[in-house]
Amino acid sequence: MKIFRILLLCLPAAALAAGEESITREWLEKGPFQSIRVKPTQPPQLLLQTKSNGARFLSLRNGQEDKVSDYGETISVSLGETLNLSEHHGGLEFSPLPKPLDKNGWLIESQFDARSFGGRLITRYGIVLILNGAELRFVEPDKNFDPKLPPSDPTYQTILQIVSQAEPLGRHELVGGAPNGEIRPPFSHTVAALYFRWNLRPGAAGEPVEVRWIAAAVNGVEKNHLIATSKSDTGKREGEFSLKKPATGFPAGQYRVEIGQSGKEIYRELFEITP
Amino acid sequence: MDGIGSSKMEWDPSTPDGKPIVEAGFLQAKLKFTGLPSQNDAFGKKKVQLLVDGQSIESATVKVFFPKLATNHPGGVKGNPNWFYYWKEGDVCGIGANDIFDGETDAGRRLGYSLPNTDHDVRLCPLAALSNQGPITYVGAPPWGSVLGCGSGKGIKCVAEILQHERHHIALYDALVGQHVLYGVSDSDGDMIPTTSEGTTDGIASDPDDPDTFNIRASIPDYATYGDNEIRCRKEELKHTVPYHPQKDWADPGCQSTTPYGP
Repeated sequence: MKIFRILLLCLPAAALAAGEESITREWLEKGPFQSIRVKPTQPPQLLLQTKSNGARFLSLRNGQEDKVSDYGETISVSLGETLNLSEHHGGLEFSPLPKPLDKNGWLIESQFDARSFGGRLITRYGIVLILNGAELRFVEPDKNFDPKLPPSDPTYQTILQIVSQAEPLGRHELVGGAPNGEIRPPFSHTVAALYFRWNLRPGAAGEPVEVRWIAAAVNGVEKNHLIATSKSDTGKREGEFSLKKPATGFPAGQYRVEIGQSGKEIYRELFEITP
Repeated sequence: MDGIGSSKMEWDPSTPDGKPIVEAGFLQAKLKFTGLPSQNDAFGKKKVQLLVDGQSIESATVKVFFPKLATNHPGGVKGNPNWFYYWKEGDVCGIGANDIFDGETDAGRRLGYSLPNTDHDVRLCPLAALSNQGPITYVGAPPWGSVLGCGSGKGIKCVAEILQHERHHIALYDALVGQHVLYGVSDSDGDMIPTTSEGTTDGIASDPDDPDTFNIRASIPDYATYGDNEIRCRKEELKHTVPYHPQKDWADPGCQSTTPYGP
């Protein structure tokens, strides 16, 4: 009986040790996925490529049954979307981070239910972020973090800091001034002025924010012609940049607005002005 | 119209006792059923007749279903989904008298589980009524070969496969405990299969020194400890000795709904 008792005692101990691991990129690529990438679309997507053999998963998107995954399939996850991948005793869930971080990544929760083997339920967590639309960053949660990630949680603060440093720009919008109010892109050549409103995320550095208005592809103007620049005051955390129309109106074509801080571009937006 | 078991049948006051009125050129009588019936076999095909002077001159057959994921059944455990209640009550796919539904938040991500060191009951979870993920071939390093396992059932068939799988976990656990108590057998690699049985149990020859001979861990690292136990339960699913009856499935969606789901 001694061997069997030892066996039963060892199982929970092993499970507890495993339960303390965080979910990392290495863990995911050693386990369920062949690769994890970012699709740098607007907005970006997380791409999970399944392996060419082994487990297949029942997938649910936003709680609705989707399908059973195929081998070598690339599963895309959009920001703000919940994806659940399950098999007999194991499951993986990607759920959006709490607002406003939901536009930056997911909390990943893995569960392995070893109770059918006489073991226990093992839960792991990880956080995956998409930064600047193309960069993948994994964050290991603090040991005793709260998976609901309230703003008071140290792990939430860590994520916020990472996002703020990588993407200092918070809310922002590009609008055009028209006689009957504001309009969104694309703009007509008769638009009176263009406005770019912005604020900095909490925790972002307070260096001046710079704007560059550029005629990217406009007939009669050299490519990527710099129209105007401007800079906010040091310490200012929100503001508005504007560009007034020339006397004859904006020539039709492709334009862009670039936002920078400390000489580094932190955001760009392409827009069109129509004839 | 035929009744629907214990569901309360009530004619609209505008058409008492089913006496029709003419509306838009049609004879119409409105009938309402309140509450779902207590028995699974109350669902299904129902005859609707048009009687003139007590004589049937026209009839049609309609099918009555229950909403699969809703929880408005009249008996069993409150909050259990209708599929669990009716499939168990109607013996549609082998759910045993003591098997239970676990709908706790965490269980929403699982198909089912058992607690073999506690009892012999299977806990079915919300995903059990959806799709199984097989078939899957699991490959071991030479000379261990490969094992085909994991069912591909949907709905009632998936439930039957999960029951078969979990009951085999219970049987393997009992076998290990029993053989240890009676004969003192050991399990040197800790996969819950006795060392002396690794070569033969369930027609699978697994490595007595490797708890995961067929590399299930390659996809889910946690199976590194239990793979040889799990592989046997996945193979067991393909036997389909837990019966399932598509003709008794009146879930919507289910085997007989307009857009079929399963088996």
